Amino acid sequence: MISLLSHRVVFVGGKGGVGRSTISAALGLAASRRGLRTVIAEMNGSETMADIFGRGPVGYAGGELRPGLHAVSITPSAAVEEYLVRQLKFRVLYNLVFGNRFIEPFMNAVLGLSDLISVGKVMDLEWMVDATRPSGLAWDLVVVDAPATGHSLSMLRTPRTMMDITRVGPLYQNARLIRDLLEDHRRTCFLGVSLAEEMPVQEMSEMVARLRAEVPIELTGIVVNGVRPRPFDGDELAAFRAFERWAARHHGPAEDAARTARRMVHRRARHEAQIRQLAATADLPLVEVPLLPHGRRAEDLLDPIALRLEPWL
Amino acid sequence: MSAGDRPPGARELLAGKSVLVCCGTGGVGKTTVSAALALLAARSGRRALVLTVDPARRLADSLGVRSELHEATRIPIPGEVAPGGELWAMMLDPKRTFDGLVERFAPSAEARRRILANHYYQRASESLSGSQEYMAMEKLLEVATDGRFDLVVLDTPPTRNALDFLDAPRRLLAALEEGALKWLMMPRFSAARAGLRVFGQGGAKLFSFFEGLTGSEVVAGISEFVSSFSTLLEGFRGRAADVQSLLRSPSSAFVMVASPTRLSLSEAVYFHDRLREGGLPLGAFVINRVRPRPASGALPETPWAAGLPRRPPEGVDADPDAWGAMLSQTWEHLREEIRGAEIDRQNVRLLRRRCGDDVPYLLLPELDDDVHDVEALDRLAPWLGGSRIEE
Ligand SMILES: Nc1ncnc2c1ncn2[C@@H]1O[C@H](COP(=O)(O)OP(=O)(O)OP(=O)(O)O)[C@@H](O)[C@H]1O
Ligand SMILES: Nc1ncnc2c1ncn2[C@@H]1O[C@H](COP(=O)(O)OP(=O)(O)OP(=O)(O)O)[C@@H](O)[C@H]1O
Ligand SMILES: [Mg+2]
Ligand SMILES: [Mg+2]
Repeated sequence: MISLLSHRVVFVGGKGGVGRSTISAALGLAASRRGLRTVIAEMNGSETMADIFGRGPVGYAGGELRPGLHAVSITPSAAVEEYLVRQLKFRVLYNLVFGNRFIEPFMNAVLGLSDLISVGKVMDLEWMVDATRPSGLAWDLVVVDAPATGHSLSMLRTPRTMMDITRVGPLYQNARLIRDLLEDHRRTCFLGVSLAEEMPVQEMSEMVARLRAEVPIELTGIVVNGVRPRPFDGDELAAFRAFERWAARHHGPAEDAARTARRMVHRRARHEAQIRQLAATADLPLVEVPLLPHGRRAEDLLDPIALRLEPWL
Repeated sequence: MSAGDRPPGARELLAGKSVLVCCGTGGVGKTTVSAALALLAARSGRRALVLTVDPARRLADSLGVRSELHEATRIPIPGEVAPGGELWAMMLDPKRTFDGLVERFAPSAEARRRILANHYYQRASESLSGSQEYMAMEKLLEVATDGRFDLVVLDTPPTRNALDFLDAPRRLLAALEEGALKWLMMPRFSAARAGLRVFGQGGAKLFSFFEGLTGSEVVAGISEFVSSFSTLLEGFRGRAADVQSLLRSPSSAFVMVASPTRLSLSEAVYFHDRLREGGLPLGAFVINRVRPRPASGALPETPWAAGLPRRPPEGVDADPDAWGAMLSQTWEHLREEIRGAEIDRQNVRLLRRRCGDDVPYLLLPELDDDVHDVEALDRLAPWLGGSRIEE
């Protein structure tokens, strides 16, 4: 039994371009419609939610997408600045050194500094209080539109890494708090997104294996996005076979139609093979989300997708 | 142009070239196209190496390349190969390449050992932004100049933006020089010694602040890495300059791989313009996965109007309702495919109008299956050769 909405933080991750943002948006929308005050946290300063919901950039301060649904765009440099200025107390000092735009990437590379602070910002959202609400908390649910696989992995590992490196000091303390929340199965979980294609499936299987080995975050399930439905079943499949034989003796439109039908059947078979592969290697529940017709507005994808996610809400 | 009105193709692209760099955004087919180009060159009698990054597992398996090898592997190619033709493949290992550079440029065995053993070096060499791209270029320089190959085709790592790849060495060097040195060297070394009072106070404060934040061991470790690493930078800069001149030489060319979507093609235009500005040679556009156009062209709205039988014809055993439903669904799909094929061609025409005809445009069809072996790569060859996917 998967119950995404019983958590406080859901990380949505997978290979680049597989639909992480779209799934995050659909999940956030579904949650807000059930009365959960929800915020979608985008990493790396992207503004996909603003694009999907047709509004201007939400920025680091965040903004409303729909009633009860907000987004914030976490830019690493903004998060680091906020954190360090708070710790340093002297903005002048911060500007003096971090005014150089290469320092933040460097400090992130050797220390994972911005990754830690970006995840820390997500956790700040979880901790954020609001005395006017019955729960006393500002957000009921935080959906994280996580970066693509490699970066997500290093981000989720970063609290443990930082603890290993530092062993003392405020960064160590922060890392520990973040780790505790990240690895608390009642509060935080991970939802994978993949396509039914070789490379994304391979990447998702590897990601799941590495999370199991290195970060004990709760793994719920994997959304297999962009799947083509089975074109023909039963009698229709038999009719397709009969048509295929008949069309072999004809030219023109009959030949084209037969080729198209064959492609539909083959493509579905390939998808099914990849889905079986994913189920076997990742050993997690899967839910299929169909490839929706071209030319729709991004926002119109969300309702049909949310419907598919329903059993996991 | 030689063969009648055959449009320029890979033959023109490959002529006189010894380095091709395949760029493009994530997932468009860079790895596939790189391998197909190298295969084509091998078949025409050249010793061709494809330097690949992260190939799909089945492609890597069927080519027999593995990252643990760190060596070029000869790929057997069945079928016709002109005399002298050989196909080689090699998988990039950025971390190993980085280590190799350290080994080459370290002033002493002691310095080399110190750097390689430093924890922060190990992290930086894996995760410093741009290091994968920089190391791809470094490896390219190595194999392109050692005389073992007539042609090296470089596949590039997935980036959001095709230009990230070109900017990478500059980014990496800047991060190392500006980010690391200027700051971390400052309080302990330069500030104290050279009396840089501007930074002196702030730097020292920040230094102790970071010690407070992370513990002094961490700051000391990073400082050590940075100060020993600084001795290598001269060598790094030299290599970066060599790569730049290799890429600018007339025997090198970039190949822009894109998919026929508007978004991808507007990336391609941007890339084209930036290469122009930078005086770098664009060898060809490869538009991959162009949806094929069905043979019969425009079609009426229903299969019946096109003369397909509404019910199973004489001698065909099928449920009549299922037959009708199956054909209707197929027809809808076929018409969708035709629309898609037209959109793709329209998009390519726009690209062509924008970027002119002095560059070959190689249009590769979307194949029915993934491209994961030599046989499938061969199926792409005729299109690379310049045959038209009718426009
Ligand atoms: N089920 C679907 N049917 C049709 N189109 C979809 C579907 N899911 C996603 N898309 C479209 O695919 C594209 C990529 O989706 P999205 O931006 O969500 O992916 P992503 O994983 O967040 O990508 P990135 O790595 O760039 O952040 C978008 O144009 C989106 O509208
Ligand atoms: N013309 C084609 N027809 C059908 N499938 C193709 C075609 N070209 C590439 N593919 C498939 O698309 C997938 C992605 O291709 P490839 O790995 O070459 O892309 P890439 O640009 O190197 O991706 P990345 O940016 O992730 O490195 C592979 O599974 C490949 O087999
Ligand atoms: Mg996204
Ligand atoms: Mg690739």
